[in-house]
Amino acid sequence: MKEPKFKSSLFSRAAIGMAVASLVLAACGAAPTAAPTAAPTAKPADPTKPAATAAPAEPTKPAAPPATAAPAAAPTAAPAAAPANSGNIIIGGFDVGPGGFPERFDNFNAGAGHYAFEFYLSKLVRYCDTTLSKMCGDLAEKWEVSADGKTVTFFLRDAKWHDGTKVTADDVAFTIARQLDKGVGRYSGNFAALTGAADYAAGKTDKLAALTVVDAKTLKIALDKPNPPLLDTLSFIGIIQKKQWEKVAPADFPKSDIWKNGIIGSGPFIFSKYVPGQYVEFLPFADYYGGKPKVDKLINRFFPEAGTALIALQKGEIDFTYVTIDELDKVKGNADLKVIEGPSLVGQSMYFNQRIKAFDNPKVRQAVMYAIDRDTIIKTLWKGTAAPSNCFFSPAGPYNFKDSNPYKYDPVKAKALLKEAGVDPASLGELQFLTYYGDQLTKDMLAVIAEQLGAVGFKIKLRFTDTPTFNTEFYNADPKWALAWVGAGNGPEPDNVYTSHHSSEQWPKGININPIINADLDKLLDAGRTEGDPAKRTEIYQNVCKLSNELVLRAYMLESTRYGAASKKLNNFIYTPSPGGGRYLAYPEKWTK
Amino acid sequence: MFQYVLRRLAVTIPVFIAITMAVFTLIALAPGDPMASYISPELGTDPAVIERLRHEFGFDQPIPIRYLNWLGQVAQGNLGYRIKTWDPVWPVIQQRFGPTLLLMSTALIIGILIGVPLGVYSALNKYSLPDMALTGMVFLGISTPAFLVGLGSLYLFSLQLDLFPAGGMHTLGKPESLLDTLHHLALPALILSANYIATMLRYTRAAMLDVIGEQYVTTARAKGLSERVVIVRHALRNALIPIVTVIGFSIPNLLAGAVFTETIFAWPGMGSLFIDGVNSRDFPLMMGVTLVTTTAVLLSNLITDVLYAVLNPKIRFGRG
Repeated sequence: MKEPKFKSSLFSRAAIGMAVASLVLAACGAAPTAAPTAAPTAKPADPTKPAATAAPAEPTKPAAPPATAAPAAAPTAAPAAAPANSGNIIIGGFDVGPGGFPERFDNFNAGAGHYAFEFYLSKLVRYCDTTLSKMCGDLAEKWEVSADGKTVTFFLRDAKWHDGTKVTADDVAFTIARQLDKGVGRYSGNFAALTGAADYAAGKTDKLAALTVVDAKTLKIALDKPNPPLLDTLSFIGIIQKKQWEKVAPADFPKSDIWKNGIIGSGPFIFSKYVPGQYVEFLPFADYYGGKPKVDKLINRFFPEAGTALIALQKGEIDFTYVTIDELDKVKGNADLKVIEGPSLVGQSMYFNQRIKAFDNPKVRQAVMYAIDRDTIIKTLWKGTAAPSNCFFSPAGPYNFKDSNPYKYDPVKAKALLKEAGVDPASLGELQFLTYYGDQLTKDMLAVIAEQLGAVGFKIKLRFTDTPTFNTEFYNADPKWALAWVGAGNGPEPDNVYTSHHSSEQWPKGININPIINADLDKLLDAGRTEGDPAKRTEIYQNVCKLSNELVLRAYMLESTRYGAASKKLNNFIYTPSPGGGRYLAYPEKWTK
Repeated sequence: MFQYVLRRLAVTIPVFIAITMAVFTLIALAPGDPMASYISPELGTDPAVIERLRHEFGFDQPIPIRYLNWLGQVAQGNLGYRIKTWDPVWPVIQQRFGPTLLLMSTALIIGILIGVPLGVYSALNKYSLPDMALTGMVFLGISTPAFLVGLGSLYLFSLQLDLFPAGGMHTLGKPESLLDTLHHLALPALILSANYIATMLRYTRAAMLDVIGEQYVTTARAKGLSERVVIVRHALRNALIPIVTVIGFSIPNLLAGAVFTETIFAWPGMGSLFIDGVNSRDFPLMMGVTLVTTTAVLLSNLITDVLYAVLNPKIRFGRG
């Protein structure tokens, strides 16, 4: 008899098994790394909590002005073919790009996704506009800081929860106290200045001494030391309803289904429906303190592939998405779309592993700066969509030290400095240069940098990995990398620099990973953290910037511009092109279509 | 026959264990773990928290112990939690069955309906111009990367020609309807069917060429049967065995989904779920999907073998 050609056999089964396995392997290896320009911030944080020490407010914040809002232009003329999302419904790819956090709804741990949180969760305070330069009240109508800076009193406005009950100071106190409970969120480090925080966090008491609920609409927060960054931290945290959450054990917060199923917020929209893998639907909240939003429905559509979102936008199926620099031309040529741009507030820099002897010498680090032709990289590769940075802070913000050394490209000087330092770069052997950025622009840029460093004698081996691999190697007691390309959100709050630059914050306590150890810097950072006078504070951080630039604590390189594109049918639409972790202002209650 | 099925089922168990063990080990050996995937490179994370979680998930245990723990839980019907959302893995996977089955089976059916007749035609007109043209197209269909076809056709048919929506399963903001779903289904299904068409065509062609020269075909012709009857009733029926095998091998795909096509078309299926799991090193999720896929592969192999007997009485399953 004739044998069937494909007799099923152990062999074929094994082959299929191996195919599955190789798929896993291939996928692991080739995992698409982040979005382009992206700030890494985006990815991380997930469920459970990161936090404590490090984090919170941390890096991710900007110092500067972002974005342009986009009031739109023309009123809607009847479109020839009605797009899919016609009517008074706004659909966006709000989680596309580095700011996105698709399908993760735990607001207390979110390293990204803050754009969508704005739809349904109110904060105590929020920045007044996308320049992120001034704080306004959200649930708090106003607040008062005592003369010694150690007491902050918040006066709440009349606001309602989505279930119709009143938002009270009790709810706010509950939300803040939860931040210090183990396992709840990543902001505990930011609240360390609250009186009694340590005892509460250690479980010695179940009442956080700092919080006094004066009456239903007044909350007093006591601090051990003045803490100007407090307001910025509070602008991150969505206030939750005590009644809904008090029965949830703190350790179960990140796992709670409430985040995505029936969460009661007090924001302008109600979290109405989550369809896994597809979208979240929000309905307007009639009793919102700022008035009922003017759109009938808001939809956050998920796109696993950003290219699809751009096509959906061009077709009019959605009203907004993030766009990369490469995609910009397609959008700019489209008369129906408007580009919104602003500084990413992500400082991209090259970390030196200062455990390697040569790199603990400032002259060697300065030589590296001189060896790199940063201006040409920005002009040609970035097409001018980035600005050179001098330190951790945004070049456009108030904390940048304007008279910094620009380290103009000068390979001769680089070689001279190396000689002066008595370092022969070739003797260092092959240096691993690690990054998690996977976009073509970064690949090209790092190739150029590696070549230019090669020209002064360094032997560089570039390694592009995905984020989990990067994290495993980067946050490591015995790091194998010599150089690492990292984006760090610099944010409106300058104290964000602390955990990555203060000597007390060396990994694993904080994220001072190089590590940077400098007593003068420590003094400045400690002073800035408690300085209440804005002018003095600005001066302190400008000095931090000056010092960072002189000593090249890291090879601070650039801050890119980030883009979003929106349909011109949208009015009063606001997008904040800030780093992945936020701050994403939206003011969605003002949007119309 | 019954005995055969039992024996085959018994063999399936060690194969199942071997496959899951291999996949588990590969996942465990890949750099980074779910905890690492949610550290922000910029934000850092309290190492104590990470360690606590690693311990909670058992990542501090040796790989064989971790595998046994996983297997033990699976035996009790617990696939664990998707670390990204903290949802139990099994319901998360179940949600994806429908969309993936719909997409993949549509593609497979289109593949069979077009591929088999074309294969017969190709065999009957061996080395003719149309045969060679079809062969050329087949190679193109098999060798073009899915993500390229996906993005390219999305650009052409969706954006430029405006024939299809840009991904997704429904038009958002409107009531769901069958017609609307079919509209969303059409483009990804057609793209996926290209591969099936190519495969079916080649196997049908080869199988037909094998049987056309057989004596019983000549006999049938000699009896004066019409060519149509000869081809369809005598030749094709016998050529079906390898074709059924290929279809059988495709069955697991109906559940496993298509990683690239689903991702590009934002189709909420198993493939896009799996890649999401990989990107976040979500091992309970990846293992859950692997489990489903492996089971589907093993079962479909069994069913294919049994179908042989039904189709061809010459094949009997006995000892030896």
